[in-house]
Amino acid sequence: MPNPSTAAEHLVIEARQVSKHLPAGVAELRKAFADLSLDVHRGHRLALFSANAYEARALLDCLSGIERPDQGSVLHHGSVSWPVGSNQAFHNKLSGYMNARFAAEIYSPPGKVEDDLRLIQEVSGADDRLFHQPLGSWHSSMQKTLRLAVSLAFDFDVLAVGKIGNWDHRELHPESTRIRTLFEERIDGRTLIMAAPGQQKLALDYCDMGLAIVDGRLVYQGDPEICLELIKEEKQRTKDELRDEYNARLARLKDNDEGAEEYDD
Amino acid sequence: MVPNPLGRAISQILLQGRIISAVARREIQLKAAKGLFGVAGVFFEPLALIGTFLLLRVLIRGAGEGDYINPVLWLASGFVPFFMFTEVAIKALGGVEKGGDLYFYRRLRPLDSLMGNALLSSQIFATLMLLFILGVSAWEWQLAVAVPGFAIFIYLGFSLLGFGVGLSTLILGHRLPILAWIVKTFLRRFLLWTSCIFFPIRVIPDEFRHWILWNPLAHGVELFRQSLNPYYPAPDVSALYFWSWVVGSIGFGLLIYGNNEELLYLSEQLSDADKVIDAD
Repeated sequence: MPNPSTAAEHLVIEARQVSKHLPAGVAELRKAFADLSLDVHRGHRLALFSANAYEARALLDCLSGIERPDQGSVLHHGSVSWPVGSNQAFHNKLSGYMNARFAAEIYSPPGKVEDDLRLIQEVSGADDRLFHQPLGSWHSSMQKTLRLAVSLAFDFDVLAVGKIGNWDHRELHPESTRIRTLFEERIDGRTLIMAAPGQQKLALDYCDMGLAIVDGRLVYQGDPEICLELIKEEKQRTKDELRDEYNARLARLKDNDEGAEEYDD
Repeated sequence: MVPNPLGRAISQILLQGRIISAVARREIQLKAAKGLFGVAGVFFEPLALIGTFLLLRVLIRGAGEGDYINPVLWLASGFVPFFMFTEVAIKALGGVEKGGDLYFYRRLRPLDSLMGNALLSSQIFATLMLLFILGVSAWEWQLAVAVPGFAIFIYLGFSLLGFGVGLSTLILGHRLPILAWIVKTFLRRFLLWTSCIFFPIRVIPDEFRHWILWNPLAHGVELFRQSLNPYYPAPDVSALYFWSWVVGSIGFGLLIYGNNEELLYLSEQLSDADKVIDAD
């Protein structure tokens, strides 16, 4: 049986009865998740599955601290990264170098800023000329790679992984391999939390625990494969419901049309 | 291993210094990215005002100051610290929303961003002041500052006072935008005419002087001029009064900031419960 004090010591994220709503159109909100409590311990590799991508991503944003929950609290006991693959602090008018340097000034250990910048440039695949060009002039795929490189350049106790757009971890291309090596180095002996929607293969390959969220509620916690199945079933159920609804509506319209034709005759 | 508290504190201070200077550098890079006028625009307003008032002085001979300090430097020593003060204070007032994207990096706190902006404004206006001092020194072929240490000390006081005033009104302004607008107008308009920028304090009759000298900026401006020439007469002006305001505003600002920092992170929320689309 685990020692409670040791377990508490190894806690890296505590979420207590957190709820979050997201904007949906003008002056309307939709529920992302509600009344959710969660303990994440050091070394956990946790994938967040949900039928609607925004549910898992909103939960990841709250757990990583870039968003605040509407209710409840999230406590960090260690450093937590922002969702890897995104970066709202990047400014398109500044060069890739300037954006990367700003992040490095904040997160690099003393004396390591230049080393981290070299690593970022190498992983992003940008040459010297491009690296000093305004980010707005970069190709979008290169911008995404730079965001990924900056996210992976620094050490965090917990690595939060959002949607990674342009990296296939199973590819054998040298660039993909370079990113994979760095990614594995960053999660080695640390905690990983990943939003699985849109990147199930990555989640299944790297996570040993899953969380399934349906209609904003935690319905299962355990094997990621089972989470994936649950979410697939939920998606199928939603599709069937929608199809039945549309069919019923079509049938009603058809009946109305036939009724109108008989009336004309 | 138990971390050494002193070592930890020092490393935290060094880290904060690095973050503040990174914010200041990013701000100047963003200004530079806007083109030439991005940086030059900062210098334009004080330069235009100094130019206008200098022209007025040339047209109306004998008006203004000139007996103790070169007239250009006399005007600059009022305008530059004052504009720096308002720039720092107003940026502190509105800088949290402006720097919202930066808080994506959770290690960066709103206070770091405000301090970074204050540092940059102080550096820019210090450069402008230095240009005036060097220009006048070259024109008169003698150093235009008699007590440089005192000048730097007072200049820093202006910067800290601006930061303290901005920080003190930040939280209240966040809650009541009208208050922020009133403070901005007060800083830009009212203080401009009561801070001894256009007149030396000695020309104000004794019985009316206290109507001006409640304003710490008037003390600061006259003290700054005294650092240029120690014989410059500045009756009833007190460095202690000026620095009491500096320390008081910074202390009060940090106190209310420390108790309300969380407020600054909260974005406007559509909290009407009846508008929630719920799957239940």
